[in-house]
Amino acid sequence: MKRIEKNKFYEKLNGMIGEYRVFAPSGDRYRYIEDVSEIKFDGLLTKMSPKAHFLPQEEELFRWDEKENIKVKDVNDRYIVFGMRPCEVRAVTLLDPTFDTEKFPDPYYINRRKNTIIISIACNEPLETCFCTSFGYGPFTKGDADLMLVDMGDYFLGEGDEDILNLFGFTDSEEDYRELKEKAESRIGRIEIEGIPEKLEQIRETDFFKKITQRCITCGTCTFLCPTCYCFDIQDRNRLNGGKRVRVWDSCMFKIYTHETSGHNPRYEEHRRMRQRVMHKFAYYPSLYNQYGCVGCGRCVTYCPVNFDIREVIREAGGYNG
Amino acid sequence: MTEKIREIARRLLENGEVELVIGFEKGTIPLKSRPVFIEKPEEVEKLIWDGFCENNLATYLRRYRGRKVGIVAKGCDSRAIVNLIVEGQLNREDVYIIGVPCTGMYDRRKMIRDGKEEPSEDYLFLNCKTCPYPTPVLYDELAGEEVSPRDRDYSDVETIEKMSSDERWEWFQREFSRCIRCYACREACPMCFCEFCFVDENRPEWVEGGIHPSDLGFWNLGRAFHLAGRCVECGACERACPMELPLMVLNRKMVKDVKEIFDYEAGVSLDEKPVLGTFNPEDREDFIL
Amino acid sequence: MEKEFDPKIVAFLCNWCSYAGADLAGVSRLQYPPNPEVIRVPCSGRVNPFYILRAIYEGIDGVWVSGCHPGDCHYQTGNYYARRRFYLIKNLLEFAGIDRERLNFSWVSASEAGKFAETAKKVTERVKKAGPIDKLVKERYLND
Repeated sequence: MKRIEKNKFYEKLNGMIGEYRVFAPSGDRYRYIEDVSEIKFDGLLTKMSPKAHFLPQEEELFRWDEKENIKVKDVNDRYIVFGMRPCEVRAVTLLDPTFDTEKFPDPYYINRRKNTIIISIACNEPLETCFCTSFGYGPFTKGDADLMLVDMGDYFLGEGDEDILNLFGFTDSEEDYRELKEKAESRIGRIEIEGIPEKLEQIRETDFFKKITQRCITCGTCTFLCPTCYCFDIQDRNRLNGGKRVRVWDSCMFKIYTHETSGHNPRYEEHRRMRQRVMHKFAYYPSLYNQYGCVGCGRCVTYCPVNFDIREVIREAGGYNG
Repeated sequence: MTEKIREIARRLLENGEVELVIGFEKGTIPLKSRPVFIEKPEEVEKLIWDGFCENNLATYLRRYRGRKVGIVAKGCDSRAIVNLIVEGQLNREDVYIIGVPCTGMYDRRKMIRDGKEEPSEDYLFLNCKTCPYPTPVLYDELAGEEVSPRDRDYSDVETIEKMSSDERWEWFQREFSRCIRCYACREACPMCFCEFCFVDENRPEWVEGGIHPSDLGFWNLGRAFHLAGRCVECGACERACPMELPLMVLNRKMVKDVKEIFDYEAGVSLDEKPVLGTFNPEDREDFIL
Repeated sequence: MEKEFDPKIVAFLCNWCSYAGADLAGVSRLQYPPNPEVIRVPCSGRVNPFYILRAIYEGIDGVWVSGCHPGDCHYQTGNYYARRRFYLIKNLLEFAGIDRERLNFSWVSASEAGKFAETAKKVTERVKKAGPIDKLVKERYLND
């Protein structure tokens, strides 16, 4: 195992701002920081997930000037995303197959992803709403992070890429984090997801979704805070000296999301939208990519205005008999 | 109160007076009660009443138009129902209102932040602390003793009114630039029932769909203006907002002005016309040049 | 030398009164500043308060809405409804920090050419005093 004193780590990180753009937790969301003093952990998880770096809420794709010369936006900066939790790292892994496809590679996402060093921090004290261990990983999984830190009080233990460990000046250590890991994992609630994709396909036309959707007010809180939701809308912005085409977040929970030009809306009713969200994560994603589309961070559970609880829905779906 | 609510709900469902009762049940996270939809008499045991029934249930009523629905309504919920009836969105006969005199709801997020588990006066929502109609204004049956109204207090609005315009702008920017446009405020609000919201209009477009501070300002001001003279001060928007924006300050500013200028309150009488749907030739016009 | 601030003002004028008032001011050769750019509307009641919000969003320095005197509406009551709405939108925008000088409302009849010219002057002065708008304005040019 390798270790580094916290102040030494932060000092080093501070020195890297400039060479890298550093995206770090700062209160309710991650921000590109100018100085490490702006880093502020607001509890275990920020309200907004760090997907805002990989898929910004509003992102320019290309622009045109008065003479209609088109200029494609390119992503050249190098980034560090600091402070991601294992679930958020996994969420990025889940975004990859969507944007990095053979047929339609998304250069904006791919470049950002390629140019980003991910530094994650393991969760010593998971929250009551966490259910990550249900998906075959846990609060101490490094996953696709380049470096995972374990908070030991005054110092971090580090695990990851040799070059990055050396870059920060980690030193050798005898310690390991097994005890912390076991303690954290034992605190996390699990949901039973065995067979859920098939079950959801079976009950898709039943009243199940109508029943669970009654309470939902169809706002976009769950989808906007979710680290794996990636739906977007493409819009044009006219400006006095040209214009630009941008990509902005959208949500399958919004009525307008599937509103067609003709006026027809295949998902006009609330339960059709809810079915899309639940099935996308727990049926379509597994069948497409062999992985669940949910990472179990619990944000949608914590921040839902009406306490729509996805854990409970999956449990109910498992036991639903029409 | 919980017992009384269950008793009424059971009777209504057993007698077939309503198809469904909308009320509150215990939530799955700490200090949270959440909406529940009871269709069978044997399910009424789920119903509860406590200090965390923060949602406004009237927001669901339009989904059940034309069907007989029972609804558990506190003071503000009942005002929302009145307003929905006045604005032609509901038939009075379709809803059976189980009125619940309300002593106020507690701000769970603030309590959790402070590590409190027992509610106390300090944690009441501001609009509950200054609630003029804690007892429902319209009901078919009351599930408890009437609660006396609290004193109106708009000192939060007045503090901001006293600032210079640049200070007010700074405040507005600071608070509202945190908005993420998830529209939880709109969906939680019983009065936001437009089939097509102005932010969704795109031909022509009122406001761009991005997160530039001007877009966020336009949306939040537009929302507040659309509720001018209609807001019943239930605070559902602010409680739903995941980013905890002070949405009610804008709404309360409008409520206060409507009261001062036109002497009107939304959702208290079935006979009064909505304030912007009528006029008085003698209306104040001291703002005209 | 620094150029004097030349504000852009949008004037929503009722077809039946203020618009005709502007016409009369013109044929009477009354002098008034050219800043208000007129949009003719059928009634002040046709002015959706969002037009005001939108004008500011688009970077207009000031807005001026002018209709018939109360009681004189061509459609009997349009300006009465408008009056209530304008009062509230003005208060709301002011509350959010938009300077009051940018929000102007007046009653000018078809025969009041003098009052029209006076009000145009007054509105322009007020907006000049408030200066170029920098609040609630969307990104108007492409920038980096």
